[in-house]
Amino acid sequence: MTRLIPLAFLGEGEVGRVVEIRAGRGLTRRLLAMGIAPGMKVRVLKSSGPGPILIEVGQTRIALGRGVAMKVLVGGWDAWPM
Amino acid sequence: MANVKRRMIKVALAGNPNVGKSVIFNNLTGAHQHVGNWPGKTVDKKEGFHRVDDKVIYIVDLPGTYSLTALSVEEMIARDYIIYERPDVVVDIVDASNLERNLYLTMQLLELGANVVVALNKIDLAEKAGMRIDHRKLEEELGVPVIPTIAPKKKGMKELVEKIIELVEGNPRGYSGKTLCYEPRVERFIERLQGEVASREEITKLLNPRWVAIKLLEGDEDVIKKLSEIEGGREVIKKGMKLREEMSRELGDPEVVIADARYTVIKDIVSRTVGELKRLTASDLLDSVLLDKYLGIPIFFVILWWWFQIAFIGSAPFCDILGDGFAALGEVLTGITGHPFIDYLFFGEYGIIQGIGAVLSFVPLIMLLYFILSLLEDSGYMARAAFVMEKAMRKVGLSGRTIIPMIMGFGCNVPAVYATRIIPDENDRMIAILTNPLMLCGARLVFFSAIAAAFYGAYAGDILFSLYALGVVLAFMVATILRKTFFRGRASPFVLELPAYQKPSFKVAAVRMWDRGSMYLRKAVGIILIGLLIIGVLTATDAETLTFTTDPERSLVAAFGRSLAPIFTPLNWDWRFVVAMIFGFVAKEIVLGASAMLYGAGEEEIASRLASLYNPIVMYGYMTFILIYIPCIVTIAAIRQETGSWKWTIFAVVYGLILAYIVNLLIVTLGHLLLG
Repeated sequence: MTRLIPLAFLGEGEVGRVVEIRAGRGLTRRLLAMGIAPGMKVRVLKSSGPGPILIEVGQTRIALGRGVAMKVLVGGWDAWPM
Repeated sequence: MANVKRRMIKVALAGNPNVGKSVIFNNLTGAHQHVGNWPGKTVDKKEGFHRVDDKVIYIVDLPGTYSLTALSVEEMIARDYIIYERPDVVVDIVDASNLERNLYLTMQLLELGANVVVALNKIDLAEKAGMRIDHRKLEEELGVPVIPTIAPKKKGMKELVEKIIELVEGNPRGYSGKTLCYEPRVERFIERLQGEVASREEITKLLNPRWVAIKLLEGDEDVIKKLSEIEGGREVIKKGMKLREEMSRELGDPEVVIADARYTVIKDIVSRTVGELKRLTASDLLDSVLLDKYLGIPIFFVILWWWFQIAFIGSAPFCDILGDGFAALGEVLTGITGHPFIDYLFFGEYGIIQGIGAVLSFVPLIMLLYFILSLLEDSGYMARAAFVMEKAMRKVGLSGRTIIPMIMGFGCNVPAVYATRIIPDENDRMIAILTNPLMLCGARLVFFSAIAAAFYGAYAGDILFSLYALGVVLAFMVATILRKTFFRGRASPFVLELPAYQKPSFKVAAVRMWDRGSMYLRKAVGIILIGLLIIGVLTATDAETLTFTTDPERSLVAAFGRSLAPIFTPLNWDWRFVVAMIFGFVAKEIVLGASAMLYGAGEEEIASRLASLYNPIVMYGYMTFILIYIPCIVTIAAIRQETGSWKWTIFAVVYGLILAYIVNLLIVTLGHLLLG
């Protein structure tokens, strides 16, 4: 597996696979329930400036605060056809 | 069997947010529904009945949740209902176009041991997106009935009801009720603990052993608490914690590992039941515009502008009819009792009937504001609004969603306080409720626009705008202070699903509007009546003789106003301002009428009359006071209802008064210093 980077660092249109969530229990639970779990493919739809980012997991669009997106670590962001 | 037939069937609806649960609930219950609160919670509880032949099905709509952990009030309500109320059937409403994520809740309902029927909703959308879902195969994989439905077209409702009855009447036609097993390395831990739980009858008669085992491994605080109250529970907890530790050493955070295991099973099921999986792209174009870095916020404000225009213009005729109608009613009834005091109190110009009229005349506005909010929410736009505002709101320690009640507050603070229910975090919600009265509402605008025109001429618009801005700035300041004192911590992390855009349902919006309007009437009217009665009695009683008087100058209110006047001398008020301010407590638009009465001028000429008595600085100070001080009585009722606490309600009143005084004093002092 390639080096891990925070989801917040992916550019628009880039795809990654969730490897680890480094957050407190409450936030981890919420993310897991919404489909942001290890092994899931995420695509970044919008990510500009310091505001929230918009990702797509499966058929779901989820907005994440930048702070949250820093706690989700993804790997293999370069090439994953979706 | 006769017994079973006569018994009421109890059904709970569960599902993620935005899956069309409300539409299905409305389809099934029609007019036979009731909205209240879950006991002790500010979460809507919708219940209703469905009749078919001689059978009655009681249906309760559980809060929309993504999972059944102990994460939020909603999740706790949903799972406690299933555990303690034991519904005969839990209908799990699943968004077919978003199967993977939705099945996560299904898995947890199955773990809980609920008698599940899956309603595979939005099947038309899924097909439009090129997904072919084999629902019979899905039924086989999950081991529970699956009924495809299209809620807005009422498709599948009959089949759903038939299936519910069939399940309850004990002819499940061979549903396996099988246990979905997770990967062996996880299952090993579950089984070890499950055995331990299953041997204890005190636990198993209340809770499903497999569920208890899973929850203990996840470290669920609430299950641990529940178990510790059951005989033998403590040993199970001890064993559970030991295994949990072992598991986290071997596999990592058990909660993540188990979630991962659920998704693995789900992916398997989806790959076997869904023929084709394409990306839904319908929302792409809209999102690229509505969420645009530069366009997003301006578009949001344009939508807001229309929302208010439609609500105010659309409700105006109804508001007028109600206001005038009650005024006419008061006039007609005057003299009917032959007792001047009662006449004045009930039918007079500032009597109960007129007061009720003034309060009721806001109901159409509240309802229409709510109706449009509901449409915007349903369409999927509100989540986008929260997205574009998130950055700005976070700076002042609020979450993006807080923008919605804040904006509504410009219309009326009452529906705005109710609308704070869309904020999931309790601290965020409290801050949103307590700062909402600072949003300049339509009622205050009545007074301000009249005064601004008379005092400031060409600058009236700027003066009004400055008051709006002052309210917002103060709300942000108070929010920041509350965040640093009583509601410590940061704004809750922002995680929000942006649902696919859809055509909103007018019927659901109408039902919601009616719920909210009638809730306002039921709860608020009592408090308003009491308030009106007190003020009425005080105005109609002569301060010296304690007999009836029609001269407000001699009344107890005037005496009260005069006795308070020294406090307000630094603000350059006279006692009439004090009294008008007290009247504003009932409803802020009364400030104008009350001033007119006290200065013996008509409502049309009061502004110019005041202009001849006060200088613009004093008047501006007074307006800021009216802007900030005590929320009107209806808003107070709403705050009491939504905070569930008198303490915070009183806090809202007190801080408003103090802040109003300080701001007013600052303006008068600085104004006179700078402008002479």
